[in-house]
Amino acid sequence: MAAATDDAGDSNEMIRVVSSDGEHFEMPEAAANLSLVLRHMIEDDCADAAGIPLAVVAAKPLAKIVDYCTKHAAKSSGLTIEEAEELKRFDAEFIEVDTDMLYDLLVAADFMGVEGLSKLAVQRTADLIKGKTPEQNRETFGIVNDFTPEEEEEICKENEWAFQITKPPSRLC
Amino acid sequence: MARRSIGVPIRKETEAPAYLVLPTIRSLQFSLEVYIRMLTHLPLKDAVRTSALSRAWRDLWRLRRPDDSMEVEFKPCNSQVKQIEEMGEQLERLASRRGRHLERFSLVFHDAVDLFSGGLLRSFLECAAKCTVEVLRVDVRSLSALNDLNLKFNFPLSSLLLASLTLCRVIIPNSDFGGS
Repeated sequence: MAAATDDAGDSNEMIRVVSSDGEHFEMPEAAANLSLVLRHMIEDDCADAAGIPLAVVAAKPLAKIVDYCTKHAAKSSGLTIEEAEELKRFDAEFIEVDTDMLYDLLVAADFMGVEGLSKLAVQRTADLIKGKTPEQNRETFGIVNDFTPEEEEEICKENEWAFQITKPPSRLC
Repeated sequence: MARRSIGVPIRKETEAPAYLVLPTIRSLQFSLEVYIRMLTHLPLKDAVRTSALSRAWRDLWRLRRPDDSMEVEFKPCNSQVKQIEEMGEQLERLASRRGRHLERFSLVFHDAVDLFSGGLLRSFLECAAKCTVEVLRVDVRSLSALNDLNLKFNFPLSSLLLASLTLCRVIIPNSDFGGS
């Protein structure tokens, strides 16, 4: 699968990357530079025609990341208000993914050092946790409850105020 | 030229302490930094609730970054729209505290400011005063910003908790201090 190449940044150089499952992608150098790891690799002259291998990023999340970086690199300077809003809309739509993809993006963005994407994914994860009971969160995140019932009770008692079910707060003024 | 495989993730400032067993989410392992950021984004109540998820989560919420100080910098940027948007986001962050106490607030201007920023400065200071800020610092570091007449220091005098105030090259209108 080829990455979007229509809106390249200042540099015309295309950087090739290879996912852990062997798929090849390419993006403009300006886009690759949004990843700290790729930038260092490019600076160290490790970006060759064979592509930079990314040992822990599979093709599915990598396609998304290439998409993200290409979009953001093309629109990084001289933004008009409309373009800034469009980028915001792009982000909002971009992160509307299922939880499996969200985790893959969290891992990959953290690993590749894509700061903006990392922030976006972390915020989205926090939004998913917010306002849920521990049981609901365990289910969403596939977390195994390894407490004994006594331990669990003790934890809830320790910070009782946080576990009380409250009605939604009335609007603060 | 040798090809390098990136097998070892680059760790940022946080390395998991030896005693801490990091939780896995759907069997994926994240760096501690990701957990800390996630927990810092959560309201305290939700962060505390994560202690009941599992043993690995139990004390993780305590690593949340303290949320009692804020620094905002107005930096040169090649896009004015982006700059204003960024400042707007910071202001929103401050306003979203809804008056929750703030120990330190620092505002630094590195760049010339435009028509909006006089209003921005006032809004920042008003919000900081609402958050009963104790240590306030406003620093204008560029000459062009200094020449900007919009950049006047108007701090609501009703802020009773203000203990320390540092102003560098800021214009103070006389009338704000009763002319004295």
